[in-house]
Amino acid sequence: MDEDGVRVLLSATLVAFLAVLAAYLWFVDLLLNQRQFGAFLTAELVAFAMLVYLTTKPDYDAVKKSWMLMGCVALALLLALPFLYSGGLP
Amino acid sequence: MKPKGKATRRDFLKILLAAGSALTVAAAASVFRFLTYIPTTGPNQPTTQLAWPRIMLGNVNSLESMKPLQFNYPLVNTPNILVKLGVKAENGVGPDGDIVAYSIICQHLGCYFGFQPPGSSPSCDASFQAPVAEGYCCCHGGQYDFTQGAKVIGGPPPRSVPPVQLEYDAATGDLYAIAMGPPTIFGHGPPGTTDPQSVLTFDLQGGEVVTQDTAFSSA
Amino acid sequence: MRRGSLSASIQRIAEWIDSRIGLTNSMLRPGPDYSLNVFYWLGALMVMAFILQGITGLLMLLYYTPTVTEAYSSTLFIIKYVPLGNLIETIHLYSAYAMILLAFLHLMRGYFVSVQKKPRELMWVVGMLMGLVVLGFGLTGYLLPWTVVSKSATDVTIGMISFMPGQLGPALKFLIAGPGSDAAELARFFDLHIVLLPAVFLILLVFKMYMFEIHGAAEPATRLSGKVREVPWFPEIFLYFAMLSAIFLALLIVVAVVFPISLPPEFSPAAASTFTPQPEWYFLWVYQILKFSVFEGPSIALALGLITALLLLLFVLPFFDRGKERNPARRPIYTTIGVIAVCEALLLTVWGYLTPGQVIADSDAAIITGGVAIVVSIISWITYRTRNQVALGLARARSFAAFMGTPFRIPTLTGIFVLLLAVSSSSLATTINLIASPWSAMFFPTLILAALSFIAMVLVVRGLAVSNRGREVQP
Repeated sequence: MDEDGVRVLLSATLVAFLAVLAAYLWFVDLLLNQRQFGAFLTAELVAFAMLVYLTTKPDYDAVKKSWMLMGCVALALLLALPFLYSGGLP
Repeated sequence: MKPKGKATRRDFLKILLAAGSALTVAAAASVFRFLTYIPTTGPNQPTTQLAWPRIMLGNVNSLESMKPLQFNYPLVNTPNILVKLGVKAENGVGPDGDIVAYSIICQHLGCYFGFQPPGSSPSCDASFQAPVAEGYCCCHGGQYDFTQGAKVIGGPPPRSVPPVQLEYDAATGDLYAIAMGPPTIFGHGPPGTTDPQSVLTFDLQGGEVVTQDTAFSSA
Repeated sequence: MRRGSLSASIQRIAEWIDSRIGLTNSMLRPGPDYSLNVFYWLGALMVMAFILQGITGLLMLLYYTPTVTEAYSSTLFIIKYVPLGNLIETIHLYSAYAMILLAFLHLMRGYFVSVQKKPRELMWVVGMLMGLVVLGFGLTGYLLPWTVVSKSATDVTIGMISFMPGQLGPALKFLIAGPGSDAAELARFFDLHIVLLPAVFLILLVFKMYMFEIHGAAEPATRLSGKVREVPWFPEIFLYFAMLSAIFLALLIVVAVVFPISLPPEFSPAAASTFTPQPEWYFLWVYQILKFSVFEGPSIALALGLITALLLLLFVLPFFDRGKERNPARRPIYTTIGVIAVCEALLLTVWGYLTPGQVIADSDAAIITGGVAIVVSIISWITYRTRNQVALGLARARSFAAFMGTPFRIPTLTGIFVLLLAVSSSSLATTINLIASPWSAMFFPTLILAALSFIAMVLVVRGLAVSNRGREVQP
């Protein structure tokens, strides 16, 4: 797969991720899961920032892989965050 | 072939970006679900008002063994039964530790169930004999053992029904309902909620809080 | 092709709207490519934070009651019982902190690249006014939950304001806090926080944005390389800011998730008496200055006057800093003063946090603030001298690299330097320790030793530089 194809694949994955998270945010119970809501909303915003960065660079070489890697690590941490806390906020 | 393919890919990237932006905005807008909350206790009332009512249920001398007394607590539309079991039971109060009260809203699907003394048969199933003093739900055959904290001993209910916390005044023999224990009453908040603050919040929502006058009316 | 006609019809709608409103001719014009840099967007991020404050504030307004008996309970209600209430309240608090932090960063960036030069003098003044409004937001908002911490701190601040000289103090106090009752104070703070200050902020913002459109983004202070490329507003500039805002909001929300707010107890005079009031972190530097013993008692007006004078100086900076030079590398004194100010503010803030309620002895104050100023000045002097040697060409650049390697080539001088560093640090530390206790016989000797070793260190560094200059012809 050539460079642009990689970009399209990554972007499509990000968009799918955004869609799933957005749907979840509308249905999660708010009283008990405020931390989860916050963590997932943050993940949505980080994924959006990554999508903008990925799609607006003039070509694949201009995309700094270190930023993309940091973004993926951040997403993983954010998704794991609610499991470090149980129940709702005090 | 190659240049055309590249152009279509670039367009696709733009579409993906547009779709992603729309989704992010939609996700951020979910914050406004904040507005869907309808408080039953107004924000202008001090939070100390969110408290369990205290209701006098009757005197221990007027209670007959195995004869349930139905009452509403903590809301007018949440019935419970008070029963003297004759044997020492979990959650039991009174001089013999055998007076208990439980919600009669089944934790399975919300049907009201009745009390069956041991050996008796419910009206909906004459072939069934209650092995212990239990609540028997006619809808789907759920059974709650009232001598063991309303533990589920048969049927589909996923958990026990909440107990009504009772206070026995040894001087006068009066019994008071003072709180609900966990879990939350069926239909109040997420099923199976057990932390006391949430139980207080959810059990008191969705109806009128009971007073001494309305505790014994059938809604 | 279906895709083509969709984008064509979107294009048509956009053109229709634009021909009626005309935004692409005014605000949404192309911008220079150097403005796609985060330091150019600190102000815009502040606007983002302001909008976020407005939204979270309005949501909380549904449940908050600004009376003395219900302020605390309604705030507690939001945090404990309303779905998302805790998150919204926490985001409101941290976004306020972010806005104040961004205000300082925005100010510092503007100062160090000298944006206040012609023609942007009035933008600077308006910006300073907006900074004061932001601090006002912090002050007024902090009182609203009516906790023992916030009410005590606000009382201290109001007390300070009332010490302004002459009639100014009481007049200001009346304007801000009313005739004196708690209810009046809360009501006025609430009105200020949700009506007056937002209105003033928006008016000033419109004014500043208008001037920004006229003058454009300031060129970088260092020389531009090559021609400036113009970048269209949509999609490049818009998407760059969308990306920055997303990251900013993400950081804010994740901090709110990890550190949710929990209210201190409700204010009551009894509770307040057991507790030392401290202002919020962004006022700690002022608080610390007021705690210097020279300013105790009636001299507090002196301190307030000093701080006001400093602020005024900053306000009118564009009008006495009139040279054309903007490059910080060529403005050593200007830049050094700025760095000293930043370091002092940081120092006073941390120091204030560590010493709640304690009066600071004058000698401590003089030595610590003076010491920081001296150290920064010396470091700045060394940096400028070295850098100027570097800036004068590639040969000098090579010699600068060689200079960095000098310690390994002239170990004796380096060893002496390290020894002097050890001696000067320990004697300086001893000196400061001796300040706290009654002046002992060792004080002056250690002070002189610290000063001498410091000067010797400077000479050694200079000697290294000089000896290096002699090496420059070597490859």
